[in-house]
Amino acid sequence: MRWSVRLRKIATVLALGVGAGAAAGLPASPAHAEGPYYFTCRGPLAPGGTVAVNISVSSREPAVGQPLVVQWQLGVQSPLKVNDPFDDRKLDKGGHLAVTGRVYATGVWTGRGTIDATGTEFYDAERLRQPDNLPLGAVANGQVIASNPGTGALRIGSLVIDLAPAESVWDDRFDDAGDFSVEYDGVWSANSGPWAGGETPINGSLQQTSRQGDTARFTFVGTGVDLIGMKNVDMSRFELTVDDGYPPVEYRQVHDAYWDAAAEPRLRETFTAIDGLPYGKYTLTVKNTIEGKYARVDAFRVRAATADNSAASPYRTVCRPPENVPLIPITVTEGGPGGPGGGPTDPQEPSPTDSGDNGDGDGNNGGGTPSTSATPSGGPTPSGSASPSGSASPTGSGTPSSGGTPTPNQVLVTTTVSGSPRPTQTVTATVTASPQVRITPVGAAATGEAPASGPSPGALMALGALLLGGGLAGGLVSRRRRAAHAGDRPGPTS
Amino acid sequence: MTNQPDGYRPPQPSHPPAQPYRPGRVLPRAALPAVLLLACLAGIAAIMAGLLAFLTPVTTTLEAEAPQEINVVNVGGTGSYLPPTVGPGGPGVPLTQAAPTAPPPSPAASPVPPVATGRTVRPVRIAIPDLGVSAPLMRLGVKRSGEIQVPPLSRRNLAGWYRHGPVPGELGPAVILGHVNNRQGAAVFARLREIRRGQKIYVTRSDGVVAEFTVDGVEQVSKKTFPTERVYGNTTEAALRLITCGGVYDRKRHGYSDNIIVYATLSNTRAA
Repeated sequence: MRWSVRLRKIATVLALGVGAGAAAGLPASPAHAEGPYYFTCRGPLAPGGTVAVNISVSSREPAVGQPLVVQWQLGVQSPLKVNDPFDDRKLDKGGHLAVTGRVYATGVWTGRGTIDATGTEFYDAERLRQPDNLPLGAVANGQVIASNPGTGALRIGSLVIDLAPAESVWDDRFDDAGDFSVEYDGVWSANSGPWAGGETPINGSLQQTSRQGDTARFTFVGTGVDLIGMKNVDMSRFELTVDDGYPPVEYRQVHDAYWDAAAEPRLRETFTAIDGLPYGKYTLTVKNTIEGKYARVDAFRVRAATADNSAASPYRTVCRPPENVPLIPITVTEGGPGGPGGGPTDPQEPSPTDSGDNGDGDGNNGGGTPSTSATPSGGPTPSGSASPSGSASPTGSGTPSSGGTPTPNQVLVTTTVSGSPRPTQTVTATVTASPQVRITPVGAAATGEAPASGPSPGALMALGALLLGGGLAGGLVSRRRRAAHAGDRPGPTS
Repeated sequence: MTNQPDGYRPPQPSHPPAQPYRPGRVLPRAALPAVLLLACLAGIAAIMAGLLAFLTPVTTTLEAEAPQEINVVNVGGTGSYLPPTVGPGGPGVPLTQAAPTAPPPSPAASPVPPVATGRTVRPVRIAIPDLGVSAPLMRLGVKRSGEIQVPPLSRRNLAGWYRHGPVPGELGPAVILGHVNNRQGAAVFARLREIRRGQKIYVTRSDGVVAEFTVDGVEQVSKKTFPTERVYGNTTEAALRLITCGGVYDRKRHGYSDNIIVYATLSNTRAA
């Protein structure tokens, strides 16, 4: 057993070395690496497993305004396995695996103080149920910019893993899982029927109330939600609202659950609340609006079109670094965003990300290591050069990384994950590195309204018609009166 | 006792001789046809005006008070020209749209480092002394369609901070929106088009910090070609974007054709 563990670790190290070797030939490859460290995982996806992690930084002496890129390489020996009681009904349509590696920046750094490297991968239900462990996939690089010269440090944080089911059904009552919870406010009671027709609620019971103003609050993480309830003759209008905790409410709608055929109550009716939200944590509130009429909650259906680690999925698993992980000291040098090219550069070859070669002494050397090799120069405008292929990897894995033209806020990232025993797997992704605006709105802003309008065209035409008619009528009357007047006038006396 | 000579009669109030009422006498006889003719002509004019108003697309131009140059909309045509930088704004300077690939304007004042910002810090007020703006701030998200939310139209003196972006003073482009007007009249950012490079914007935060931003430039862009990257893209300083509406109002589409966008950079901070 011990041998198998040791062999596994050796294989992991070799794999990481191969992957790092492949990455070493790339322009965007990091100059300094830390690890591998064995992160210990806790959570439904990996109870007690470990994952090997290599963390690389582009430079230990970046210039002011120069992005410092942090790259995570995750070992291919994944501890992830979907094996929990939710599996049978929560993952029927697959799920999105989201991974975030977090590095804390202290000292001279600006912003929120963390550098997140993220990645998302979709797995269908069949793959999720296979006995093989689930690959962690690749995570994109994170980056940070120093605002002034000085010394600071990077602290390696945890690896956060979430699995967001593409569609999942949550019963009317359940134990809290991740950020999922449900609470009832008022005089709700369980009802298991039976109703006429023989249909039964999901899992045998549902919650109901007939008091006006009673609410049920279902907190979930995803991009959309439905209420599964019923329609019956003793039911009436209820209100659904969805919010993310901050005003304004994202969605509000009143549904009518009245169904006049008393002999045929309709169970498992879907009342769609909302869809297409940005992935995140929201609360669906069901509110009974009619006194004496029932509102019923059978279950909730949650959709996730994508995922990230901003909120906890029911499968939230956290892999923590070992206690002895040292801080990574960083010295920020003077230099404009024009690039370190003007400075005394002492190119340092990208170190092969092996475990031994950059332990403790490397960080404090004064031997001039303002490496520029990895970080795209030009401040916020990474060059985004295509990565050449032909890596030094013994497996001969090419790294075709075209990926289109990066926008100014994008970094072309090439992450190589070497597989063992499977052949080398190369993933190339163009990603937005730590966007400062987390959700970019679509299009423009509707910040104006029509001012108070003048007379409408209809009113103008009516007024005109009135004036014209009056004028014509007046003229006619005047003419007739004049003619009559002329007729009455006595003629010349003979 | 009165001493009055014989034959004296006190003066009698002079009354015009009573005349029987005749309508034709109110106006001179010759004026009546002219009045009727005028009424007919006015009626015809009103009908024509009503028809014109009905048939032509009804738009409201915000530039009525401060005439501006026509905005350049076409960015794809070979003959169109869009300046490579965002303009400085100010009197006599047209608010044209910069080229789609143009970067945000360069800082007008020396930028200062961003302010340390906790997770609970929020902006609470914005002030632009040069425009007479002082308004509270609410938080805004995105609508279901993915568009940015806006403050309620009913509150004219209320602006909104986009909460999925940085807090003003934090690294990155903080975004604040305000209406240009509503049905009752001018709203909080009605005069935003008058702002110019070098003027100051003050944002008060919930942690007591007042972030002073200096305007770098201003542009008027067509909503069809909104420069998303320039507005929301990463920056190397603490930046601020103010957005409101501009151009003409199209009643059929229930919106203005353009946006006014102000770019600013953090230039100072102080305690409130």
